[in-house]
Amino acid sequence: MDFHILFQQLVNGLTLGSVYGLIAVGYTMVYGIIGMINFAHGDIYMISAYLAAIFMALLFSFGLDSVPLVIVCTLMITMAITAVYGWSIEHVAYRPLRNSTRLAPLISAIGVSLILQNYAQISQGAGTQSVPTLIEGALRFGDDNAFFQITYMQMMIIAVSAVSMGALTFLIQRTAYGRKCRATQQDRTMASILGINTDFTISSVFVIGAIMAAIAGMLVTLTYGSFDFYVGFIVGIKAFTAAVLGGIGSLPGAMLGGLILGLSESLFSGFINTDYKDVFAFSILVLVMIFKPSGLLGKPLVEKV
Amino acid sequence: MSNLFEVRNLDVCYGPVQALRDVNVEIKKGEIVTLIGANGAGKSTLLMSLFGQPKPKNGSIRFKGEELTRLATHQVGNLGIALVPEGRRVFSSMTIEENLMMGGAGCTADKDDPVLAHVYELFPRLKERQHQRAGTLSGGEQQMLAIGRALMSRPDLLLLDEPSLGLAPLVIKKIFETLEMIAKEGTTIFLVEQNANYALKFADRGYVLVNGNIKLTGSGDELLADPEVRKAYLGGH
Ligand SMILES: Nc1ncnc2c1ncn2[C@@H]1O[C@H](COP(=O)(O)OP(=O)(O)OP(=O)(O)O)[C@@H](O)[C@H]1O
Ligand SMILES: [Mg+2]
Repeated sequence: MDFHILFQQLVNGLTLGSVYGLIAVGYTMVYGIIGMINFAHGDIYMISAYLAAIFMALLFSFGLDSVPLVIVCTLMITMAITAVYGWSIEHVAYRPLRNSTRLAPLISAIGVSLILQNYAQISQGAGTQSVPTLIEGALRFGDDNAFFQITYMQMMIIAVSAVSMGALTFLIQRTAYGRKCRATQQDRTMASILGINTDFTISSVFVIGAIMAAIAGMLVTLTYGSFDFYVGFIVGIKAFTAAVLGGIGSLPGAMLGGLILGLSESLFSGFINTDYKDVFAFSILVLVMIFKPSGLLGKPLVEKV
Repeated sequence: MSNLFEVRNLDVCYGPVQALRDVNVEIKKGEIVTLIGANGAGKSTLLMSLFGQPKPKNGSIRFKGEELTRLATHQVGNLGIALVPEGRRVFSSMTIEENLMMGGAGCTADKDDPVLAHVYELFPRLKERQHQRAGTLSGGEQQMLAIGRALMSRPDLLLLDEPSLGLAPLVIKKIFETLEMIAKEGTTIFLVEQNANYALKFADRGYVLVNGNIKLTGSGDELLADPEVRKAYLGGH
């Protein structure tokens, strides 16, 4: 076995998995709190990629020439605007349907997804957009014939994801805000009787999901440098798969699901076949669904006392 | 003295089904008032309608002079009314401590909140298990938790919906003893019960709800002695 390939694919998988995890958080938290699959979440990610590219170009053209500063400012702006998208979509497309059938918000979400894709296509053009590479270079391990490397960009993705996930976990598990979210998730009526503005809590969860997607969008745009109006679809499906794999509704589940999906995809492409990596990823999903329908860390749907 | 809480001509419907008809209740500060009634009489409906779940069709509900029917559920929850709901509704996957902190004003009580220490004093059992998940508690312990959670906001009015339901006589006794202590601290209590014997002995005054309508009202002792009440709710002895 070629260990350098193994290590390389582990690094790649970890990077990919971190991105899936960041996006999966949005699916899992929204599902957890109102029981709907936000099919437009992948397109929120797509929007954030455009925003990142636009604001990076703008900041450079304003004469800002420090790369770290541009990256940090772009990230902040992208997170803020994407958060507004998340908040608005919930208000306009989902909240009015809160008390209707379960299917209605789902269909509304598909509508929002189409609207966002077409909006990006019309306003930014259908072609592939690209941004220049800002961070180059890598750490290499091994000799010239057998080496593996971690690019600085990959390090940044892994580090930023780990910090974001850590911060989010702390927020949900250890703060009053997190308790309000978990209470709203478990029993919305009782939570509001205790004085929680559950509508606000629900909106805030959409905002958090959008912010995490924006972080992913920005990082991926910086790494791969190209995207189009359709990237949200496939990345969204993958992240959704990760959320289901880990147990939809479970925050650590989304992170674990993302990592498993990313690692299995890259190991499969490294050692077996690149063309069928998606088949492999979805096969894992099917297997988990057969043997543990609630996902790896998910709770069974009904938890009676 | 003006009323802390009053319900006037209240009608509540679930779609076409009318659950409460022209209900009037008033409670003064410091009183212990009970409402007894059979299954399906509309007791829980009355308590939940205070919080707009469901919104009343007609009538008014006033607390400290404020009209509750105009408020959103969470606004009522922040006025100084706390509910121990039917079925306890504790947050089963959260710890006992977290459940209690949820009950604090604005749901932001922290671990050193003096009210938390006081609740642990009332229910030492909860303190022993503070880091355990609420879902692992026995029924009686969950009831204590639901009461403790409601007390965390130092409510002016404590509403209880059948706290004795499904509990062993010894546990019921313990819970009523604690309610006595809470009442002595000056909390106004509105207790909904099917267990008329306990409830009427405990309360200053009572109402009898039959099919969504108040049929009888009087002091606890009067109602205990009333032949109709004895026949319907006390097994007719
Ligand atoms: N969500 C609902 N939808 C429709 N009807 C309801 C609903 N909740 C209660 N009802 C009806 O309203 C009436 C009053 O119910 P309620 O739960 O208030 O009774 P209760 O006095 O609390 O009874 P119990 O002692 O069994 O708890 C019943 O006829 C019940 O079937
Ligand atoms: Mg009831």
